[in-house]
Amino acid sequence: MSQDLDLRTRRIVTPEGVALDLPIPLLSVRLVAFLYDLLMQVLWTIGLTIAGKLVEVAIPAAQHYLSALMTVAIFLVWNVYPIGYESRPRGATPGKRTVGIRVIDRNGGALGVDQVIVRNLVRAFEFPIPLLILISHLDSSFSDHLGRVSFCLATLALCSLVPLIHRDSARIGDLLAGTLVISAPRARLLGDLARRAERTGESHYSFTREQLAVYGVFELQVLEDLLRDTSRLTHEKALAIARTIQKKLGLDFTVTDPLPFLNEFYAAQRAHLEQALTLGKRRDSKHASKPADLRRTS
Amino acid sequence: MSKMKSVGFRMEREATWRQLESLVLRIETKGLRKLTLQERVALPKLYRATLSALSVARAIALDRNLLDYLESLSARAYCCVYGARGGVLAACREFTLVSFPATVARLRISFALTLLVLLLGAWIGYQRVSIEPEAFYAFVDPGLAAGRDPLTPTSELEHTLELVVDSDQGALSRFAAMLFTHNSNVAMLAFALGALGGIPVLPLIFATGTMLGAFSALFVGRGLGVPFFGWLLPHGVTELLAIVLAGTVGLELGRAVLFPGRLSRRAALERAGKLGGSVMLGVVLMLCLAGAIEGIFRQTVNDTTLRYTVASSSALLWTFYFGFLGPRNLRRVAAR
Repeated sequence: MSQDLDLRTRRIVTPEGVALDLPIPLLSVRLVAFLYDLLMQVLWTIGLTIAGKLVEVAIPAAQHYLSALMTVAIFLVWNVYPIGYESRPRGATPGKRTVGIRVIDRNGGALGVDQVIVRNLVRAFEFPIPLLILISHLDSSFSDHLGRVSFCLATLALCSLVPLIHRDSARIGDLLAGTLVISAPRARLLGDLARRAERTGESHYSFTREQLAVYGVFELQVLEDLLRDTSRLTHEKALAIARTIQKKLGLDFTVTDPLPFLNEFYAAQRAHLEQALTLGKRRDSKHASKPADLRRTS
Repeated sequence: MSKMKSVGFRMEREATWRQLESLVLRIETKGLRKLTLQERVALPKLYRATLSALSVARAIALDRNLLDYLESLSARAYCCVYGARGGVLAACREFTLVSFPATVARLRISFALTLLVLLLGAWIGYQRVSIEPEAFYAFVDPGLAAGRDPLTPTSELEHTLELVVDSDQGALSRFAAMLFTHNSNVAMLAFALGALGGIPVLPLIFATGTMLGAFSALFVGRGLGVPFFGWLLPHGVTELLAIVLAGTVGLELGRAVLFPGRLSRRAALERAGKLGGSVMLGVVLMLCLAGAIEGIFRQTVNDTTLRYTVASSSALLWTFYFGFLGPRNLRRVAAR
């Protein structure tokens, strides 16, 4: 489970019954994806229009069929483009793929084509249609169609407010379709730090159970992050960390070569905490009260 | 130092995860179709193995990188396994022959109500304009009338119904394209208004009905009833049905908002939205079909008998489709 507190996640339960915490993308990221797709659709429209004009010049007789064909083609660009892309296994339009987000089913089931259709059809009414109606009244007729104009404004306000206040940043289309937009997470599997300690040969240090009961999971994982970030872990920094641990644990020797010490301490600490975890005792941090019965149970 | 459980666990399973990771990466970049048959069979197995590894790791391991990796790999694989289904052709066949008519049959009460409101609107529009031609302006938007109102001479009205070979054809096909856009806008508006409580759906359908009635009254009043309906109905049957279906969906959404019953409001809305989404896809297809009939058939065929043949056969077809195929498929789906 990710421990970044600033990362918003949404827990879904897969059909196999395993809970997954999926990261929710920032609204700004979704906006970038939307603008990208918008640009693609505009480019398609322009391209189709130019192609249509060229054919019209080449074959003047086809003019009437062409105008009907163009209406349908442009309709398809604006309505089928997002549906077609999101219905595929990748569940993302080119814009979404570029920023690394995708659409899934809110309840953890399989995403249906019908859900994709709903979320995309509703989008038209969340933003382009009210805006177009407003623009069409911009010239002079604002006061003549006060009802229509205020209806459009209310729709726009409501539809832009919902993603801002919703905890998963869902827009109305997502709510109606029961879909969720998530960041496609990408974590790499790095080496096992506990094995690094094993490889360095026989152990030079040993820790008592009392010493290993000082720290908890949080400190262990902070140490893990520090040890993995080898580019920023200088000798002085490692030494300072080793000294801190040594002082806290009350070890009676002085560490001169900090990395083997830290690796070994990490392995010993993790072995200790994992053993306790297997027995159902999770010590989250050094601030948690020490499990009194640890010695007895282990 | 004794070997840790989590270390052994990882050594034992890591190959499976790496295999799944490379499969998922290929699906994400190249798509599911590029996988071989064996890989497609392997995908769900690897996915379940990794998911169970995640559960185990959560219980025994404190290696954060490992937990993050398994969680993100499971999420990515989950998306691949439970993403929208690819098979476009099979989905199309299933949709047109089974699920679309079945869903409409499920919504038959709302459908009947919407159809009734449309017919009522048409009847009232027709009656009002027959008695008092000036009422035409109350029902029809001047932009849509396109110079066909009570002040237009009969000969010009007749002219608009015919296949015209000269330059006027451009204007007519523009009008047809506009009608298509207008009607799909009405259909989509009816659907979207449903989400806002469904109340405005019926007035919208009613207004469409009155407009239809007003036009009919105008043409029938000039003795042009037969050519007018020959002009309108070949595509109109399909198009009006599509509008009624969109209104039905809007009404269902509105019902989910106002009367969710035992479900929570959000769950009811989600359910109606799912049903409505598939009906709306059908509506869009019907509108395209109507647009094709309107744009191609009507532009080339001027024979009233042939026009009526097309109109009545499309009416028969839709009656069979929704009246017979729909309920039959609904029973089958329910029996599954």
